[in-house]
Amino acid sequence: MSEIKPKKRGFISKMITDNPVFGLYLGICSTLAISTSLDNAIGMGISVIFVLVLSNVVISLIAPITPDDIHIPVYIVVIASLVTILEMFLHAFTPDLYSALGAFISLIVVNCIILGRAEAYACSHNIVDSAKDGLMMGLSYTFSLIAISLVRQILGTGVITLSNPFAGNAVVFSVQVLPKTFLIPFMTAETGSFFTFGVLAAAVSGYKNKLEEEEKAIEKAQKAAAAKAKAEAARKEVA
Amino acid sequence: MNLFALFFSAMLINNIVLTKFLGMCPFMGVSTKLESAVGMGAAVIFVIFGASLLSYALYYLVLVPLDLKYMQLITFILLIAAFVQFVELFVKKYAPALYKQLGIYLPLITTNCAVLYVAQDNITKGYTLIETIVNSIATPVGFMLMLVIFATIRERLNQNDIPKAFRGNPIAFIVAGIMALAFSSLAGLV
Amino acid sequence: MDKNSSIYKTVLLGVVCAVAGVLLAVVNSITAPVIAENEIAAVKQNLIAIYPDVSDFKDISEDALKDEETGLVDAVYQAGDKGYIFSCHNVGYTADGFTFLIGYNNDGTVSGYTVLSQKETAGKGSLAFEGDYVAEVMTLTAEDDMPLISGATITTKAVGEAVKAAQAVFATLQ
Repeated sequence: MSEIKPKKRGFISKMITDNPVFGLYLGICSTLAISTSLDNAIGMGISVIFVLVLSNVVISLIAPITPDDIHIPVYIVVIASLVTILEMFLHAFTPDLYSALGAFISLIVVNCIILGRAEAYACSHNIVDSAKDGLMMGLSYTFSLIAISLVRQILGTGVITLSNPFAGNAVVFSVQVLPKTFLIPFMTAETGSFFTFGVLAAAVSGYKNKLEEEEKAIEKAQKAAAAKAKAEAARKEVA
Repeated sequence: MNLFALFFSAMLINNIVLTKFLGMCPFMGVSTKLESAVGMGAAVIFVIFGASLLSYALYYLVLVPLDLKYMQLITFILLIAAFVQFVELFVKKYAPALYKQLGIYLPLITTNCAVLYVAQDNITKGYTLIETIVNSIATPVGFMLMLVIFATIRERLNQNDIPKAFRGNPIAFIVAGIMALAFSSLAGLV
Repeated sequence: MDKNSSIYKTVLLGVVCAVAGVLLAVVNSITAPVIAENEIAAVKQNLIAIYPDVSDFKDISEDALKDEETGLVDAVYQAGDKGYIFSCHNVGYTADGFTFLIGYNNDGTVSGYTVLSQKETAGKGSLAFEGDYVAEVMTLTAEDDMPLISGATITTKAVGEAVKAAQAVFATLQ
């Protein structure tokens, strides 16, 4: 009897559909604001990963001893402390990144992804799983940021640059990808941010729809095969 | 500082949603119906105004004298959380219809980046008390304005035949982009 | 102890806040001096870039800016006996604004024009802080208006406004 199994989805596929930004629309404010360049995207991404992993770990440790009705303020204090520490380190050791990210560093504390994961996952899982979850979500977020930044930077300025924030923004490499005649200037402005996000969100949505349709088709085929098998078995019994 | 210029730029020219990308979660989540947009806008104006004044007082009366400026983020966000909790109880008791309409979005105002941003911005920009009051009213009024405009567009938009992939949030972002383009022409006005 | 008793909750909240407070105080004591040093170094570096031969820069902002009304000039530095450097800011096209230094020799010629921070539109407003425009500014004096760049008029007008404020302060120092 042949069985029609659903296709196994790879890592990249999962990263696209379970993406906190494009899938759940969490952490949109910072995504739209920071995605102006590759440097900012990477800097912000790593900052969020730092806070997310540590907050998940700490919260998974104190959740068992925290009564339900004060859990929100407690989690908030934990996350806010981590963000303040991050902010102080960034201000001291990577001042260029600090001024590029600006107010959005403190706003990591209200990034829905962090409190969301704390509530949905970290409070009910052990340290290692929580840390892994934080890392995965953080990486997804970072990849979404990088995706949007690359589109905006390439179409808006035609150049991809990478700088080292620890060495006073020394340029690591700078590549002119698109000649000046093909640039779309407003891509670096707010409008470009919204448009890029909308188009990428539609792409993810379309991809998810396609997966859904494939799954439905497979389900239908499975049901038909099962029904057929049942009918055959019934016929065999009668015979 | 010229208060009119401050008001106008906080409300429209440097609009918090279209130029600073703050308050996006409720902007996307509550803008599908005009009624809830208006209710949410009003709630946000009240919260931002109240929370900003309270945090301003907290900063200059407690944190600065005690040299605890690095506690700013923690104390501000706790203050906002407490204030929103208080507003929730208030709304539940005196405007139950509004409470039901806003649903989960009312406590979510705590994580609305706009609230924390305005509270911190008043400090970063070194505003006087009067400037803080103007900024804390003008900014959420601008937010509500955009939210309401956006809701009216979305209500009509959802009745049209949009390609499947764009339905829901993606097309909303494209619309927001066009709004940003339109309002960006105000730059440099005052 | 009962998890749901008020005492437990208060104690837990108190402990969490106390730990947070102590941790932050520690990190603050490590990073605050580094931050302060960076800021001084950054400013000094920019001042030396304009007047490489001067070793004594004096911050005369308090006296020089006493009557300054526009609020666009943040600081005034006296570069030995050669001239003055003004740190100015304004808001151009983007809400974040920009800051720059403009230096005038005692004879009124421009000694330097350096951008400290700007987030203007890349390729448009940002041109007000790049190569060709900088070169043009270096040929001006404390009496001249800043030139405009077509396609970046908002930014260059804002720069001009701030420079005018600096020129007014320079006039009082002469």
